Amino acid sequence: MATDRLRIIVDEVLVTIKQTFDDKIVSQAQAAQWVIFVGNRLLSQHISKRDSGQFLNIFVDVPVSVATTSSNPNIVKGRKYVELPANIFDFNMDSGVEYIAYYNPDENCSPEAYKKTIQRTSPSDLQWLNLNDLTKPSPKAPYWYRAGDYLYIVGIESVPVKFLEMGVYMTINPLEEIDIDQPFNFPQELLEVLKRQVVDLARFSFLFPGNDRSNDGDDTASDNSRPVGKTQSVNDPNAAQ
Amino acid sequence: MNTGHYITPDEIIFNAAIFAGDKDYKKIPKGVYVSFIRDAFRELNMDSFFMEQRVDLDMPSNLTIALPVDCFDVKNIYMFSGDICNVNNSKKVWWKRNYFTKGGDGYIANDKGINNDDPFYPSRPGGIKEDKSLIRWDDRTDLNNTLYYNIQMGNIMFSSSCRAAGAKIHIHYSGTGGNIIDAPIIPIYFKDAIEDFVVESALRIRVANEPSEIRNLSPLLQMYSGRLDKNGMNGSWHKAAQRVRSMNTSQREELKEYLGRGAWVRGF
Repeated sequence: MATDRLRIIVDEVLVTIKQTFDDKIVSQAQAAQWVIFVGNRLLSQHISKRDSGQFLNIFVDVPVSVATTSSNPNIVKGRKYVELPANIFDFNMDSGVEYIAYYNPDENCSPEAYKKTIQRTSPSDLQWLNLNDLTKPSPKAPYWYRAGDYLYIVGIESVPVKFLEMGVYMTINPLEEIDIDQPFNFPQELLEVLKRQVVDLARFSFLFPGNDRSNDGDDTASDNSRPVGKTQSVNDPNAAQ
Repeated sequence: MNTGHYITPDEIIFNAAIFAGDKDYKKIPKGVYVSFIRDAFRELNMDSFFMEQRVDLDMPSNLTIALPVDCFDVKNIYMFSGDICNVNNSKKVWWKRNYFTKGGDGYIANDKGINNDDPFYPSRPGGIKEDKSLIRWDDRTDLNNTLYYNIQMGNIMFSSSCRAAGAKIHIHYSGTGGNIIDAPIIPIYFKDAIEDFVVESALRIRVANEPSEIRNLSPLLQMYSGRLDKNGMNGSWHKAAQRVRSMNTSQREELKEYLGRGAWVRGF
């Protein structure tokens, strides 16, 4: 699917806020950072509202590890875990992870559509699940719970599972990792909202006068030089007063 | 009614999970649905006496055995010798009220045949020896051979006369269905009732744990409580129990035949 590159969106923002001259005060990196800030919020709202696979990212062969020593925080000796392969949205009930699954290749039961799905839980819920023989963690009823960037798997302690498959909803990569010339996977219908909100963010940053931040030994700051944002009414202009 | 169509828990979960708004099991783990199905099946069996079970056990030396774990209603107990494929000398064992034994000599009971000076239980001349039946006294019957039992706290206690009646005990009972997991043991006419029971239970969990969704879940819960109507007569629960208890057409028609005859006399 062809989408705009991040560079195009950033340049569009820079043109709009007239930061294209040599001595511009907003750099391309800063504008890209703003796009990522706002983009993450819009993207998370979009994924939450829509039952769509557009932004699902599947990782296969995610290695299962067992820590040999404990290390604070979040690494517990002897427990099976996988490390999140990417930054994900922190949705309610860990819904940033759409699914985790494994299949036993010894069962010769490929295709992977027949894989065993691991269900999400939490450490405190595990106590409750342990009370019933049908919900107790087991190879037939495996669970995962999240602790930071690690997902602990319970119920398959005695099963030789080396790799898992998982589907996650990733955040936009951080600025240090992102390639602005790669396609920017973002809802096309929200690009206009993205641009508006990034420009708003830019205007907000312009509220702070630059000369207040230079120390020239004299009080040269003047309130008159401070740009003031336009106040917008939230009322419907067509409604009778 | 009887049927040859039995379904698995997965066939119930297929509908129940999506009706409860949880087809991906993200709200409630799948094992919880199976647990609800087991609860529903047990309850429905106890309401309808659907699940008839039989078990063969060896007579222990202490005359006491534990009831099968899934038993909730004993229908009949028999003694026999041989094995279940070759049954010899089967005899019915009768219930004796208040009978208690630890398997040694003697026993405790209200009526022991010889009841010296008891104002309510008279002494009977035939019953001098130890084991006596409560059933009846008959001077043509050797009371010492009468087979009887009593149940206390999940244990069946047999009379010592059972020792001589055969090495095997056959218990015919109504069961709760045991531990269903994957096996297709749910009769098709239980499907709607169990499905409604599971959805209603799942929705109760969701109402308790998802307060922000209560406006959506409450009408659903009300709807499924109505569909199930567990304590009334207008829902799937009552309908399922009623179906089980109704006779097959064959049984009904043939009973009419039997009862329609004046007497079983040759030529009529």
